[in-house]
Amino acid sequence: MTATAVDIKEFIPAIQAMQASGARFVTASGVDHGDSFEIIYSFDIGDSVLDSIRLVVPKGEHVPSVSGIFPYAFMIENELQDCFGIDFTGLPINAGRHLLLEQSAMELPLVKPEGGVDPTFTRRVAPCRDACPAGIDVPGYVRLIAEGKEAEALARVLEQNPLPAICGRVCFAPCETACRQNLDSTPVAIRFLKRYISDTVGIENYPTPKPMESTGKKVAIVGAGPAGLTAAYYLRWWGHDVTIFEREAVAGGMMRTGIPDYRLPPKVLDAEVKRITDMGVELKLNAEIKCADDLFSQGFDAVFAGTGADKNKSLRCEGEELDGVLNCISFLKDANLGKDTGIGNKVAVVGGGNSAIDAARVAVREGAADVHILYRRTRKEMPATEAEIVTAEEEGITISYLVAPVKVTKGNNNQLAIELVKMELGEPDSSGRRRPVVIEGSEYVEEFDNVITAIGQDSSVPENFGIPMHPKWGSVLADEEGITERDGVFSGGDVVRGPSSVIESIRDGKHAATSIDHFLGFDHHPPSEALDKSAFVYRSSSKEREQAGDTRVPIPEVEAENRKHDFTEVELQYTRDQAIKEASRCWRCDWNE
Amino acid sequence: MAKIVVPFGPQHPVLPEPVHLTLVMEDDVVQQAVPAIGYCHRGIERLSERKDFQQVPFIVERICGICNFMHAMAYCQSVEKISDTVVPPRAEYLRVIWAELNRIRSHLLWLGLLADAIGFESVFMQFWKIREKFIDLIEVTTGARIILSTNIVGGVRRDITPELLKRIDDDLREVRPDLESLGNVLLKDYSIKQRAIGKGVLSHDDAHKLGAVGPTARGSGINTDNRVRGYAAYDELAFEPIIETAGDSYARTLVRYRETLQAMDLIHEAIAKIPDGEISAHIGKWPEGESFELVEQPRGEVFYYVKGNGTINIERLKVRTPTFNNIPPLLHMLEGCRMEDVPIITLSIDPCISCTER
Repeated sequence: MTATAVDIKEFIPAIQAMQASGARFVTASGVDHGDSFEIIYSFDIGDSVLDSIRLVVPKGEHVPSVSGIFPYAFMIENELQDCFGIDFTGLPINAGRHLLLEQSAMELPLVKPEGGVDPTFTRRVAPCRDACPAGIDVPGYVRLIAEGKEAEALARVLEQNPLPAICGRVCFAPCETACRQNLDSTPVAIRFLKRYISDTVGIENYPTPKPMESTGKKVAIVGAGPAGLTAAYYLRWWGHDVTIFEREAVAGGMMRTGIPDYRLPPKVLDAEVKRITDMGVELKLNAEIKCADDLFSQGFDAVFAGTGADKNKSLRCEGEELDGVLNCISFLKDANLGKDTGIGNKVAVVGGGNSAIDAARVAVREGAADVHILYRRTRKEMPATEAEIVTAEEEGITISYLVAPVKVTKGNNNQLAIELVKMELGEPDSSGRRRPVVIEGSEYVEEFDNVITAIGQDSSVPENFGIPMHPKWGSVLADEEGITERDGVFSGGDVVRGPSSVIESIRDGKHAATSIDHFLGFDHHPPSEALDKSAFVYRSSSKEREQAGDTRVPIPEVEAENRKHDFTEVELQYTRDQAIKEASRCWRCDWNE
Repeated sequence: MAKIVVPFGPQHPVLPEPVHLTLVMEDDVVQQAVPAIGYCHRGIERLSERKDFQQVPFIVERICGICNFMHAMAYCQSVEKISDTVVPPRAEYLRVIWAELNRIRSHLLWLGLLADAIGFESVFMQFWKIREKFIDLIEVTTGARIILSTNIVGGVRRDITPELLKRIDDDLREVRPDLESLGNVLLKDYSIKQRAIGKGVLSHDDAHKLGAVGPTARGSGINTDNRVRGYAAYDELAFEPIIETAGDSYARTLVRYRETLQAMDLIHEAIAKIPDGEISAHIGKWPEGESFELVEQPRGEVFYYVKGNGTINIERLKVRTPTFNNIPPLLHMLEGCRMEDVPIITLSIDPCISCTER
């Protein structure tokens, strides 16, 4: 099947030769080559055998019409005129570029756009990026990992999140829940890939911005948790003088004292904190701030309160004050700071959230052989992530559902006797979960060495701190940009939201930093969270996605039997091939299909 | 008398297809017809460049609902030529069976529409009732009544079991007497003869000069039918194009009616000869190079140009559908005809505007 190429001078004679040999003109196909058009005239030379004449013209040149030779060619030439903008000379019936009803066609359908990029209406914010509270460009960095560019991927993450090594370990990953592959298979391991790039590049090699010229303004940050650290990072970058005041002897907030070491090794956390302090942020430990006015009198121009939510909620049952009844927050803090927790062998953890799971798994590692989690609803209603519940069960923790403590008394052998009652699920409450209802007469007593209460936390602000508070919930009143009603005092993170997550606190810290900067009279912004519609997106082919496969490359973990004896990190690391394979699974939803 | 300009279409009570013709009339006689197309334009050629080449059969099917199978077949045949894929014999026979069922379905639709355009509604209903039998056969074998979605590059997606093949055979035999008697009613009827004989005459020379294809050309005596070339399994089936010489709407009606019966014969033959084996083959490589293909659709010859460049997307897809080529003959036929004949003549080329405008 040949297609003879002719130039413009040989063109008409070639067409005439075709007609003379009795061929029938079939059609003319136009192809856009960027700087020229190619028109292929196809003929039926008998018995439905096709032959073609190929004409290449630079854009802007006129093409002679063949309608004098084949009268009905005017239709296709009119269409080429409309679709490609080719000018024909000698068209007997010329619709004047109105053959195609213009009202129906939105754009010239067959001419390629000038750049190599897709029209902007096809770019959209992918669900994963939409779900990330901090607005990290998730498809962007996953794509860079799939191309093998770890450093660039990390730089992309660092634009919006200064703590990637931490989030890669502990984030609850709303991006993965929103991933479209979550619907029928496993979502892309976005969080674990973030950990992969931060570990591969190495915290000491992160590109860290050089602080801008000093503005002479001083900002005090109360609390070295994720919100405070993030606010410090951005404010220092923009040239302000930043001091962080932390009540504990270690920085990190709940990341350090609440999250167990086998999920977040202290070394990693300290390294990321050091990166921020190396920018010139002053970190004062063991420095509790009781009142914001103290800071203003010390000369600070603005205050950010990120004191978190570490007041353990009370079980409100009799006997809670007895020895051996431990508070989840202080239990975890003691364990994380290496202090003796005094835990016995048989432990009950009351609660169903991630803190309860953490407390149970830490109890196992602290030597308790018989750990129970007591939850008053069923597994479906447990707020802890499913993966965490499964890991807890793998480590031998028993989970009892539909049971709640009534009172705690002293038992035999220095143990505690807990009276428990069975529950059943009744009508849904305001959160939509079915309310547990006591089954009368089903009380029973069980003895434990320790009871850990882990039913939730409340925001923690020193009394008379000088910041607008919610009348009932004890949290700080601040808007989405961290602005409170008191001028100069900003807030964000758990202390405003109640117990939430690291990534949400990071987002709050970033937005509060912007508000503080504007309050101080400047106009800095973090790198934009908006979609860059002009960026070129290469969409992986279905063959590549087929090779990448349907299910996630499993995250390598230490086995349950081996891991429950110490606090070494449970999750291991992807190899480079595994990471690229996993990142190739991404469907690149930011490129609209 | 004065000339008046009547816009005909794209929406018109008597017009089954949204073609826009601007009729310049004088005294109820059409002097000239000027076409404009684009009402149904969906940018399918451009869309096909952005999809994986294996997804494209399902896109090109949607160029037209009635001739959809053969669009996908033409595309698949083009791509198979440039991707080192050899279609297994059973798949070729299956393609023929479904293509001919599609052709019957399309022609029966048209015959019904012709009767309806004339006002003979009971014949219209009866034709469509017989047509349901064929749609049922299509549904039972592919799962869909209209758009079959059965062609893939390398073969077909579904097999037809021997029991179903026998059922197709039996059903066709069962329905044939009804179809023949109904055809008799349509063709021997006095009103239809009055409205179709001598109307929209296209002479042999004009048909050749104006590039008519399909039954429009065969009704004017031009012996052209792409199935003679022998693609798919047509080379193993006894096939002769049906030619009429009068060149008017009645001749075209005869051609289509006889093609329906001929299609049934072809299906019987294909069912008798179908070999066992695979229904699809692995694709040799991603399409690379250019490929030109002609396939006979119910309305005529469709031309496919596919250009691949070794990647998973095809670089250019160009479709020239039969109605696109039949519009110049239509414009010629309309000159000098009366206003009330315009719908019948437009219908007699079996227009399919969603094909034309892709």
